[in-house]
Amino acid sequence: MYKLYFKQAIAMLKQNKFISLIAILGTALAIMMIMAIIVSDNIKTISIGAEPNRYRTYYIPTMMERDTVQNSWMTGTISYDRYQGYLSDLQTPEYSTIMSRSEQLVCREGESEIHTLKRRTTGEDYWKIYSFRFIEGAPWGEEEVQSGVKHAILSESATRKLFKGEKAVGQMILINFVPYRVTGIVEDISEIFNMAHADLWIPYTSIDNYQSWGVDMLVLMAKNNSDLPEIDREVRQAEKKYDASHANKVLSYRGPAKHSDYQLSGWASTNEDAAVKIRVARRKSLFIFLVLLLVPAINLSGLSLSRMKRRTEEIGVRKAFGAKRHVILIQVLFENLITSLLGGVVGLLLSYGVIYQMKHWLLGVPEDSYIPFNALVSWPVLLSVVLVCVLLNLLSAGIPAYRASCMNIVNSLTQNDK
Amino acid sequence: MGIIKLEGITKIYRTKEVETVALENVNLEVKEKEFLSVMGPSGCGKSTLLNLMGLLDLPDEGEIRINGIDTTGMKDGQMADFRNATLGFVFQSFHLINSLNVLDNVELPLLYRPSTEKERREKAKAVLEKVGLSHRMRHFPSQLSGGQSQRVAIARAIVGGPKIILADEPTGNLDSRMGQEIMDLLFQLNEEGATIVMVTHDEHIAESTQRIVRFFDGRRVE
Amino acid sequence: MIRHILKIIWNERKANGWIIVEFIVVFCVLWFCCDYMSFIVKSNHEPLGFDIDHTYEIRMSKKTGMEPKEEEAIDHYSLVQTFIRRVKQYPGVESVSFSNSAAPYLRSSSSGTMVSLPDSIHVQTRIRYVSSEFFDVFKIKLEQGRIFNWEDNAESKNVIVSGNRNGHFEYTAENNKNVEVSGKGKGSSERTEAGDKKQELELSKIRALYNDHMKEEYPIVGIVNPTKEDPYAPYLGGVYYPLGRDRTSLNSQIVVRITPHADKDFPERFTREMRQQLNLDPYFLASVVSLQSLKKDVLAYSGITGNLNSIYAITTFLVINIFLGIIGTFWYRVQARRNEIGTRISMGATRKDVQRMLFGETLLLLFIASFVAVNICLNIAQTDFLEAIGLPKANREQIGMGIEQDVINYFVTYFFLAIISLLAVWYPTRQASRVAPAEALREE
Repeated sequence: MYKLYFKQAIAMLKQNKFISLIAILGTALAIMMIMAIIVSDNIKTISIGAEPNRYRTYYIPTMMERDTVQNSWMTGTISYDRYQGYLSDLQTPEYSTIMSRSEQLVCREGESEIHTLKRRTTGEDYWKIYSFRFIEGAPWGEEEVQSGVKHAILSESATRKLFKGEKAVGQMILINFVPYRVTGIVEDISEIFNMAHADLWIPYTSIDNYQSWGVDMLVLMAKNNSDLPEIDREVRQAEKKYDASHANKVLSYRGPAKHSDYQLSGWASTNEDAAVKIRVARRKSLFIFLVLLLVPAINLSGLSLSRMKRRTEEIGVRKAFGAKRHVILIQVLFENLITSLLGGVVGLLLSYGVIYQMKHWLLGVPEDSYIPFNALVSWPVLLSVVLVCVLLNLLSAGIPAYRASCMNIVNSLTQNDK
Repeated sequence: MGIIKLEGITKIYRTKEVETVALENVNLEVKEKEFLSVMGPSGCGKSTLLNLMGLLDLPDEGEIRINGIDTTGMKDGQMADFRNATLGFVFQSFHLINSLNVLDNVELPLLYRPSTEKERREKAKAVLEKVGLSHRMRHFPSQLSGGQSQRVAIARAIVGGPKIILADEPTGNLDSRMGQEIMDLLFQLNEEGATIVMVTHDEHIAESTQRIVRFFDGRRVE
Repeated sequence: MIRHILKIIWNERKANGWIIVEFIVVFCVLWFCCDYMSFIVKSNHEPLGFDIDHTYEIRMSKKTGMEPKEEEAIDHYSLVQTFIRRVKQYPGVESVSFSNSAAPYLRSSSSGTMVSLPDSIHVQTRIRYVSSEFFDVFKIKLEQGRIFNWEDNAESKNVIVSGNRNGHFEYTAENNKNVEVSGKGKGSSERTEAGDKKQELELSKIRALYNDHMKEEYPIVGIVNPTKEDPYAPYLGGVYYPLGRDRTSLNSQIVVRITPHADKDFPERFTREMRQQLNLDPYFLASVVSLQSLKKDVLAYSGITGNLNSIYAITTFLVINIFLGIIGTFWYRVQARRNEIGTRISMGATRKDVQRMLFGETLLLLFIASFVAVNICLNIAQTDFLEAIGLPKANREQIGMGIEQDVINYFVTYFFLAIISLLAVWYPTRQASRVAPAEALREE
């Protein structure tokens, strides 16, 4: 049965090339816009590659402290003394690390060629939360971090910049004119992994006076993503512990925030503010999807209705020979689905083009970064495309299909016999 | 008892301003294996009669019995199944589906009853053989002549083995030679046991059938 | 003619219904896009009050691992002097400024409340700490008075002010509840009724500013032109303090202006050639960044760039949809009405008449839709809908857009859609009017 519908749908598309083209283009355009948004979102939240644990990773990026006597507020990155002894002792997370990122001047000892590289300072758990492939050497462990030894791990491209093919592991480099020994080289990763990406990594303890610096971010990885409420409880307890030992001060940490939520609300200063931002962002997405679906659906509805008019005769014949209403309904929807899916495939491919062109805006990565294939083509993406096609199909062909199935047989047959 | 029985049939077409009485208190009985012609001038209601017989439309008053079964109060789905099993239609303007080839067109009724693809294929081929168009199986309706189109339509009408064939001016759009071919085919089918009710305005053709009923202004006249 | 077309539209209302609904939805969205774009265009048109062409930020970093005693011993001010001397010798450098919470696009700002003298009005303003050359680097014009000499200790309390759009400071009665507003009389009911309403204070009427906390007076020695933080921010009143010695170091905001002539690969050249000279222990040259690229980052961060991209994307999307929608619908409509068109032609209509009729039909449909859409838009604008959904909204108050903006929105949106629609209908109508009457009449 469906093979026949398919055959007929293809034949009809061929017979009405102009209108079919318009229908497919219209669908493709809608799918392109919607998938550009969905795929971008997917890239930002999917757990793959260098960040395979996004679904169970939580962030604490900033803090806010209120002075109840002077009635003043201070917000900013977490200072080391508000981390150590409070957030450093959380029990529930499987791994936890603090992390900062900044641009630093790096050169080889004795050389005048200075490069500006992205440096990340981390704890030892960092290498367990994120996934790197070591070409040479190994990540540092607890003892190295405890001792604050000046070891550095370089990315493949950073190594090439500094050492130009020479052996790098064991050599000395100067980071902001402070000597470090290279102890490992990792394979380059894509910039879409914005928590893992860097050119060089050093233990945070290797920085002189690190206790007087701030902490950019605390990253926690849970055993299961159902542990979040427990982690939240512990963080709130840490806040109370601080308040108890500091008169007139009320501390609140922002977080622990899920990876997906953090993408939407990164700049909020409090958890309440973040919740509002997330709510608004979700409403905005819904609204945009509605517009992106509705307008083409209206278009395609009009088109479907017109196409239906041409087929009243055929539908009358089918009903005369025994086709029931729901059979006609399914046939019309199925045939329209062919158009939708064709448009969907074209739209999906076009959306990849859009994402490549507008990387900076949609993903927040530099124009020359590359996007790994399995971030673009993944099960969530393919499922979404099919879902959107079906949705668009129902919206645009639903009413025309229903009306077609209810047509009076005699009127349908005599439609063109005037 | 006739295979088709119409009792007290009245059909009125209503638009916003005008009421047209298409059929008024019509009684008719068609015997099994009969070849009946229905005649009358334009607008006398003969096509409406055929539509009602074919359950393509509902009467405003009266009862229709086909093959002994009372069709009043039948739901849409029941009628569809009934049509599929018992009736076959041949229309004046053929009503073939342009985006399907000949074989697929003929298979159409079989789609709406439980059957396998193989069964459908075989039955359709057999019936096309019968009407002499096996060599045109893969062609599309736009590539056929009027006579060939109507033969395909007849093949479609009989592929399900219906007891009753309803033909509305089957030769109306054909020239005399093609028309004769079609009539030969219908006669052959009648001999093989099909009951045929045919609407026509051609006196000459009607006379070659077994019985003629005449209509005028929605009423039977004799 | 119009009545004739209206009749046709009504008779075909089922098919027309779709197009009208689509027009309404698209009209509403484009209306708000137009509103926001007007805001953007108007904002861009207003003078910023400063100029960042050919300006670069010089970032210095400090070496780590120093003892606290060593840290205390650093003579920051003398390092700065050396820095300025050496940088000014570099070919092409016109002026060098040092500042705190002042330079545009360097993402640092400060504000506070001062009391104006003699009227004793509490005003809240931006606070900037700058060296004298700040005004040269950013080409901020002096309107009255003079620029202070930041290195002269005697001038350390002299300040320069700048106002809002009208060159005034703003204050609210809310902030001035306990204060007598001069000229209005004590116990005046205007005080409590005014509430949050913004009032303005002429800068030339202010002699000095007074800091309540520190109990210090700051005489005003000059007035400069009003400035915005970025093209889409409001003009805010500000106070420029001389950058005190205790605030000056190589960690301050350092911006240089170079001649247009010398502005070729400046960051790379300067970094390479000056690295040695600017190795002023414990500071070293980290990077040189143009303010233009910093501006890009700020606009992206604030969401403006994102908003504009979204608007372009959505507008293009809607335009293409409307285009396809109209072509599709009218194509069928025209096919179905071939006999009608043939009849009209056989009765003496020319091709142009037929085309005109179809154009008229389209425009009338658009007009009907626009009427409904305008109502919807005006209603939505009254509510918080846009903010609740997170969509970009024009800040009308800031830029001074009023009801005339609604009129502009309507006409711009209408004409824009009209042009798109007519383009879309053009092809089907051309096909239709080419129909030979006999052929069309034979269709039936």
